[in-house]
Amino acid sequence: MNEEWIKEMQQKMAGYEHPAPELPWDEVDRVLSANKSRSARQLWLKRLAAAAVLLLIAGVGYWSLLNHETEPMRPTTALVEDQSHRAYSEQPEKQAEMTPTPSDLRQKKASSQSKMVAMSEPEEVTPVFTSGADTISSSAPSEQEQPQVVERKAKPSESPRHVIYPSDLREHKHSENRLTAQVYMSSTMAGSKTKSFSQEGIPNFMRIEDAEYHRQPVRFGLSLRYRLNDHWSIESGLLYTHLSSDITIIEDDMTSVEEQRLNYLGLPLNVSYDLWKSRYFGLYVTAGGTIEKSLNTNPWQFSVNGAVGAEYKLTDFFSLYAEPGIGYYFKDGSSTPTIYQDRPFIFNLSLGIRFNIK
Amino acid sequence: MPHVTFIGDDEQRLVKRLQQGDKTAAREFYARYAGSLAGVCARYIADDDDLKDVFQNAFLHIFSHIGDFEYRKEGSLEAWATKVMVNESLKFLRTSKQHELLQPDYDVVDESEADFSVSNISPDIILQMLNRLPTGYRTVLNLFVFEGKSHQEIADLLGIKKASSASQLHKAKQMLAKMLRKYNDNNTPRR
Repeated sequence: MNEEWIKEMQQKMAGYEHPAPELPWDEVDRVLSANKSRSARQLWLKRLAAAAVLLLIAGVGYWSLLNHETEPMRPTTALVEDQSHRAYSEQPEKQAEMTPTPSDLRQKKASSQSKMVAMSEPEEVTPVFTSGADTISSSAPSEQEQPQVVERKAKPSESPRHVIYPSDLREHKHSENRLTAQVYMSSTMAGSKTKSFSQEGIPNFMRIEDAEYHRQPVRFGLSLRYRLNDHWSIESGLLYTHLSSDITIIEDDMTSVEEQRLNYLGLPLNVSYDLWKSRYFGLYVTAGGTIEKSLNTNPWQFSVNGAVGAEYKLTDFFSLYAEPGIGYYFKDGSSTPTIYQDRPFIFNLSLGIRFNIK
Repeated sequence: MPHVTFIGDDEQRLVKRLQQGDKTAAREFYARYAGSLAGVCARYIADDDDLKDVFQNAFLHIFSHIGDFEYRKEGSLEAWATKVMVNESLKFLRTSKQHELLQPDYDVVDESEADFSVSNISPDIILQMLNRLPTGYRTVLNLFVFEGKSHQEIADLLGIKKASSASQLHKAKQMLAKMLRKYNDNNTPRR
């Protein structure tokens, strides 16, 4: 068949414009207002989620600082020292520019030196601080902040925990952190997949490609992890999953695109094995299964998964971790299309925070 | 309210503004795409009143579903809007012209596998000729030629047999060839 005429027709009609009918603009504006409130709702949800995460991190950070005054305390001390020093030495420095005296010059030198050292090597706080404190006492001995600074600085060095910190940590971790709580969120690593309607009876023809797909599943979880021995841990908790898809249905006399939202509550059970562990980093593998119940219509959903995890320990109390993994979702026996039926194998990435409770 | 078209305001931003319910964005969308989308609609719907209904429905669908649309690359907004327009046109044809889609094949008393050329015919004339085709023929031809669908896909969509789609296309082509011959005869400059 000669297709020349088809090409010609396509070229001729490409970009063809026809006089356009007017639109019922009041109706258009009503539709747009609905979009507006929807997008505002989504924005607030995002803000709330962000605020919750920030609060959580801030709260945990504060709590851990109060209870475990070790590593993160030191830079703070240096900073306090540095700022107070700068503030107090400003006045003499100005004087020094006009009438330099030997003592002022010395002071100036000391101040710049202490700043540098404080920034580059927080470990050296003690000697630096001493020089700073000298300056402070010489220029403004009765200032209120001075005792506070001294007190805060003194605390870590007095604390026995602080002194034994480096050598003790490993043993400490192994013996005490048997129970860990986790908060995490997880999503698929790949982009959203376009669902292809291959079920018989439903034509896969004029699908609106851009409006019809399964979005990435989003999961939030809370779980507890119990260390059985040096290498093995088990973990379980609660998992919330949100699935959202745009489904285009073409029936004899109707085409509709609708958004399908499914929520699941699940119970995961995982076993993990520590491959390697150092003071700050840990590497492990984890595998297990999850049973989920849809809060909407679908029946139970079973899945198995495996992942490699990397953990970074921020303090004794909490660590961040990332787990890239793969999951397999069994058919749930229902006709509701989900991303699991479309792609039973799903790559995902979980990011989370662990709290070492006990 | 005067609406301003921002130069360099790209598609992606337009999508975002529509999703946020920006009313000037809707005017801008209309200013940009109404002509070509009406052009798509006019290939399917011959009657002006019907065209207006279908056109308006498609635009309302676009504006109400823009939240589900995900911008991917340049041109994807227009491509999506075109699909919505085609969908709305087919929906209309399926509901109100079902019998015309299902009509038995005309016996075109013909003749040679007439190849033809439209290289010297204006788009307006081509559209007029398309509009004179029986609805079923026109729909199949549109889907095959302009939307790039296969006969199987067309058959699934229109609820006809695959063979019927092929034969309707063939006959649509023959009718077009006939119209073109007539048109050329009438418009050939005489010496």
